[in-house]
Amino acid sequence: MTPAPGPALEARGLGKRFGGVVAVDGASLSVGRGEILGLIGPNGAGKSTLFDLLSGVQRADRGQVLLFGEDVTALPAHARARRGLTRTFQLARELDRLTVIENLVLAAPDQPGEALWRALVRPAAVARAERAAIARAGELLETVGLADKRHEPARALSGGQKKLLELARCLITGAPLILLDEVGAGVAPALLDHLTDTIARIRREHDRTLMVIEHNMGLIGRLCDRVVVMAGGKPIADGDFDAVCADPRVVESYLGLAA
Amino acid sequence: MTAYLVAILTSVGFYVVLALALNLQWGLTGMLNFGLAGFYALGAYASAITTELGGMPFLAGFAMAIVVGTLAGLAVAGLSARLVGDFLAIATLGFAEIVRFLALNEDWLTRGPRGFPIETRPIPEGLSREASAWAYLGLVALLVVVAFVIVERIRTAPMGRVLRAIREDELVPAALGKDVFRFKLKAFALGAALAAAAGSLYAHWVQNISPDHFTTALAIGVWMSLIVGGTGNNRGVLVGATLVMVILEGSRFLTGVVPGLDAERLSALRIALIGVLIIVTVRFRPEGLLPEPRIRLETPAKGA
Ligand SMILES: Nc1ncnc2c1ncn2[C@@H]1O[C@H](COP(=O)(O)OP(=O)(O)OP(=O)(O)O)[C@@H](O)[C@H]1O
Ligand SMILES: [Mg+2]
Repeated sequence: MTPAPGPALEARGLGKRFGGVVAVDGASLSVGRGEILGLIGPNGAGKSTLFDLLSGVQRADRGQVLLFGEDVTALPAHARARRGLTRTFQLARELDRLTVIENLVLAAPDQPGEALWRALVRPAAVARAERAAIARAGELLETVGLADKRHEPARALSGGQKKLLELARCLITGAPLILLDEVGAGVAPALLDHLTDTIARIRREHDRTLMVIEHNMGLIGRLCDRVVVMAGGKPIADGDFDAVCADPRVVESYLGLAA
Repeated sequence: MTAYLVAILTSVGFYVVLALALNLQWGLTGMLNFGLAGFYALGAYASAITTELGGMPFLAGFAMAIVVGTLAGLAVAGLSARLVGDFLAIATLGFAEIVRFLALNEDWLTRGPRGFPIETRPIPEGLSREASAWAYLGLVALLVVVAFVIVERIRTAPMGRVLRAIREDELVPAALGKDVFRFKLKAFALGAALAAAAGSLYAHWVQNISPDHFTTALAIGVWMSLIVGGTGNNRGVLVGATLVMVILEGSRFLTGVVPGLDAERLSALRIALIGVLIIVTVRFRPEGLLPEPRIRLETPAKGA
């Protein structure tokens, strides 16, 4: 299968303000198909807000979002998800009182049993799709190393495990484009390498496009084909990891602080 | 004595259906509804108007109650669900007040505060008093079973999983491609329809309805059924509704037994009793007598 040409995701002049705070200030960028793009920058740079605008969780004040070439600016989050864009959140949003595996099975796309009449009548297709989704979810739990937590309520997970759960939840949707907001935050150092490998393998084996916000430069350096640096609500540098790290503006606005 | 028991069981039945409706809306989906009594009243009046003023049979009134209840549910949830969560609570309260206001003031349609006499009954003419009471209990029990099966099937289906996800954090199902608004509409409208159906059966049972029958106190009783029995657990809700109803009704026997207990003090005592029950539950068993059951999803064995 040859992918259609053109970027997976494109932002054109996106802007968002909260009262007096300009969170995103005319941000433009594009993500190529199959690419892993890192998004870095100081606290408050507008990275998470940009994710919100791209995924439709918040409405942009101005600008456009193009998803696989289609203008989705006016579409709500669920419609963008159905067109192939899903995401995780900076503060893990696990569904507390659902079990770990329910969190995953929920995300399986096109479940016939979600329709009211099929929920009541239960044609055979409902059970069939449910079995397939449960089997797939079981495999993904193995992938992210949460198999032994299967029937735990999700609130019982540690912060890092919640991040892994969110990642697996994105995978089961089958969405070709995944936005990860600080996947590494709270993940135990010993697990971090495993997480990095898992993400790299997902891209290779499942042909996904990823956009990754991270403060952990090790993870960004190992994972990303390209890095965009944001500060003050817009991208200030764009290039491969080494080039971006050497950029004086980046050193001044971000890396200088970290060092 | 048997007659009294049959009557109590019948009223427990209405309560259980209301509690199941609320469990669908709040227990599973997390949608606040403080106006449950309004949907109950709407069903009662819609049914009574259809049969008494429209001269139609009971089934037409029952169907009308369900249609009107569904539409009202869609309207209330549709107008408020896109706004922030708490707005629904206010909208439902407002809705119940509007229904009450109409019932009180539109005499030509509802007979106002004097009460609306209802002749039409869903059971055959010519039965003895006792037999017809039993037959009516059977009908109400049928509605309870139907409501229970509907809400329980939804709970255990993929649809119920989406509703529970919405309850936990609606941003997540939205980011995963679920149309949260539509799911909320469906859950709320179906709950409203169940409450209205109960209202219809209630109207033709008491045979005289007035706005006093559909007070906020009733809605509070239903809420308590959920809290005590176990929010999110349909069996728990069954137990909770029965318990609350037994306390409300059973305390009636205390007049005459306890000296100095007149009707006014009794109603205060009832509220106090329910209050104690709530406090004890919240303190010692915050998830209710029967907590929400955990669903175990097992991978089927290969070849199964
Ligand atoms: N809902 C909101 N209401 C008001 N202000 C907000 C809101 N969300 C974000 N902001 C503000 O917008 C700016 C950008 O925030 P954002 O969370 O996008 O930054 P970030 O780059 O993700 O930072 P971090 O690295 O700390 O996560 C900040 O000044 C923040 O305080
Ligand atoms: Mg952030």
